[in-house]
Amino acid sequence: MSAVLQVRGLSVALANGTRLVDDVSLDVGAGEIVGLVGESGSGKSMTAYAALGLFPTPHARIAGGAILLDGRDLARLTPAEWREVRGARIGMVFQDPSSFLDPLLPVGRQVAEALAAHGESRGAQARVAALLAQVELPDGVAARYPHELSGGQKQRVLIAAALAMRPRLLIADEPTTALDVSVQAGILTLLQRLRDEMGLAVLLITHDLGVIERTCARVYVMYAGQIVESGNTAALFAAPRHPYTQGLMASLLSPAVRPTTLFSIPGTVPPAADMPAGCRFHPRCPLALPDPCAARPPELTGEVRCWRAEEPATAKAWAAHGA
Amino acid sequence: MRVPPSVALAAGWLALTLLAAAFAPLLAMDPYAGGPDALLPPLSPGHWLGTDDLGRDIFAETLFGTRVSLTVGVTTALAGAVIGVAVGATAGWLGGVADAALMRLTELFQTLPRFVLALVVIALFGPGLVKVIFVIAALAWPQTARVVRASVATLRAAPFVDAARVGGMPGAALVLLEILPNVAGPVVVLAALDVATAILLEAGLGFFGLGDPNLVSWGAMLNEAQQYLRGAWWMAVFPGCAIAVTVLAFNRLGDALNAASGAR
Amino acid sequence: MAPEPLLRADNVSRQFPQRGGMFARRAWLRAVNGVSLSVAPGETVAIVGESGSGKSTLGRMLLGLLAPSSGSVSFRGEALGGLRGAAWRRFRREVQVVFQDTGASLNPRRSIGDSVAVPLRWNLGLGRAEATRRAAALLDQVGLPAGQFLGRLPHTLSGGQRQRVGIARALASDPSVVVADEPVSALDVSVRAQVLRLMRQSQAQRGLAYVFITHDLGVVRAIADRVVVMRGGKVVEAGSVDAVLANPQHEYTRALLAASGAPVAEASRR
Repeated sequence: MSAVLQVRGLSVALANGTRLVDDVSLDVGAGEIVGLVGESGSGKSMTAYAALGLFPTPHARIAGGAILLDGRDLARLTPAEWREVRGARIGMVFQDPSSFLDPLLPVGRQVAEALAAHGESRGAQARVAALLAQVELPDGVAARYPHELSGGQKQRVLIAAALAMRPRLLIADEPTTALDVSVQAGILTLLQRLRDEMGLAVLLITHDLGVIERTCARVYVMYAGQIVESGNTAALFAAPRHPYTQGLMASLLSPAVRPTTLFSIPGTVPPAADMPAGCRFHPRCPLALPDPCAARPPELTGEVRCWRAEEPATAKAWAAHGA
Repeated sequence: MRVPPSVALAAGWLALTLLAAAFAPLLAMDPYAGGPDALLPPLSPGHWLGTDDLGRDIFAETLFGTRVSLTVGVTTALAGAVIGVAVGATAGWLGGVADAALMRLTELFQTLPRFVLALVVIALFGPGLVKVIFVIAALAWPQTARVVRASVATLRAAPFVDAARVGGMPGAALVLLEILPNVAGPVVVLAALDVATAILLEAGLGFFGLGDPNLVSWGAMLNEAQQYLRGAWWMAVFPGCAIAVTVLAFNRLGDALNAASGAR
Repeated sequence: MAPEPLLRADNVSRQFPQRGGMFARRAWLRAVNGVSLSVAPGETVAIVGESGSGKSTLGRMLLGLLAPSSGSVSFRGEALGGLRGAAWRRFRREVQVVFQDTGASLNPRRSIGDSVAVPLRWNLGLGRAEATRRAAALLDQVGLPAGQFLGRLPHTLSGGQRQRVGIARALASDPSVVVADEPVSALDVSVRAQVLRLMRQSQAQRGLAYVFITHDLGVVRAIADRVVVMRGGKVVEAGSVDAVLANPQHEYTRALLAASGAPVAEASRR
């Protein structure tokens, strides 16, 4: 399977040198949905913005590494070249659909804008109708205004707009987080269908492990700006190797089981400006040793970034904490 | 915090006007003292900005004029702010009929033509500084009221206000202690801009002879300068520049405050 | 013998006028439609629903922030509408709230010490010095050392820290019931459990009752004794958490459970 997106050693930093993303590498192939999971302060959204050339603050910039889309390095693009790539070769869908739709225009017009922006205005109406049908919206939606649609429908419109120019890659940043639980499943199923029909490569960024489990073939786990674990979703969820991943899973609350104790990872995510020396997770890790964990930062070896990954005790890192 | 040069200049100029207003008698001669040396050009001995048609020193008049301008500017801005906040907060908090009624009142005041109002007031009650302040303040408060009303109506639904209510705060305390501190930003910005507008208005009224005839004001100076524009340009230019620069300075300050509070 | 309920809603409804333009007939939106529930001392009742279910509106009626259009809410057997003077003040002291952390649950202009002191000064009538002292003690109790946090402004705190402040504020007037409206929904997964644990601890220490409004069934299972499922303003199912989640009767409850998935948790230890 060919890799559509290849991120190699990406670093994103602020003007004062603080690194928000540190040496991140990931691949997304055609016809697969890959998950990037992390919490606030993990750098997952910054990674997405880097891949889209869309930094929300003017002070953030790519400090190193390459972002290859079908072999072409996006990190080196000029603004003019970005306008050709963004929206056409890469589609994007974000969290809150209401913020991304103009309340004053019918949604069909807004999807058509996506086409017009890249020079394809002829036959727009037919193409818009086809796109809206592809995202399972009924006839007549094109004439509706955003406030007349539900959250799920608005998100489908945005997915249609994102796919208007038949991009190779779709980046979705928390696409279901703002939606009701009963609607989420529909959107995720839609993404899976589009992946199959169009051979789309999808990078799905979220904090929700349930979403990852349902849709992603492979997953990358980010913590404090770095990838700490990656791999095949089923395997990773069955036997997570990094203590942080294990802690995340142990924190999950399921309706099926009442937990006897409410487990949580002690401590908090370190601020980007004040990273601990050595392994970034070591202040919170139950297995941390003064050497090497607190002294030297571990590399990503065999899909895990942990000095003690190979030791048998690491497989049940939180056993002493009741998880 | 980096201060843009234009803001520093504006602040500097305003500090100067303040000093001029405070120490005018020490800095210049009596502006009312006419004399035989009429219509002297600038850089004449003893009158470095020249004299007007009655021999009064232009520099002294300009300096003393700061008093009227600043007094009018600051008091009307304050009055406008107080009235605007009172009306706006009441309308925003109460909503419904009270809100509608107060907003109609606000619109009424917004549509009043300023000079007509000034003429009516002065025709009825005679000229005077207090009446000038009254007229200008009456025109200044509606804008603040609208902004405050919108902010208060929005904040009324904020969770922290509900939390304070659950914490036992009664209605009036909620408005004063929880909501108004959050509205202060735009009010201060509008007040700064109101000072500029007020100074301009006062000058306009003075120009039409509707100001206080007993006080030196830049507008009145312009009024007298009309006949002598060709011959004694200095009678108009110096007060005119003073008005322009002071108004610009307050505007710049207001912009800077706006940018500073918006950035948070 | 069942203890007398602290808070009770009897067939409450709440409607809001729909805006229909000048000539359209006034339409009414029934946000809450004929809901009854009760909260006994020390128990945790979860109100579950999605957006538009009316759960937040119901919560506000339980807090006395909104009057029902019909039906009544009672505290210790007395209808809220009839409470005056000392009885009303007692209600205000004993029924407190924790809101969702949207950034607007704390006054952005007040230090968090001041925010926590509000119920101390108004509900309990304490003087400034005493209120500050107690607010400091409360912040210590929720894991935010007063020395560092008393004077901080909300925007300098993380979401989890702000929720702790909200909990400290809710506990300030020594309540018997706390209504929590989506208190952990906006928080990271690893922070969620910390806040829930704090809430459970506080409940055990003080014998509190909770009304927990949420859309997350995992949270419901972790913390609640009874659950009320709402949809479109009405209650579709209610009962003990174990019974309803193990054996849901209504198809909406079943759909919610199915959508909540998270078999992930099963995969690990427990």
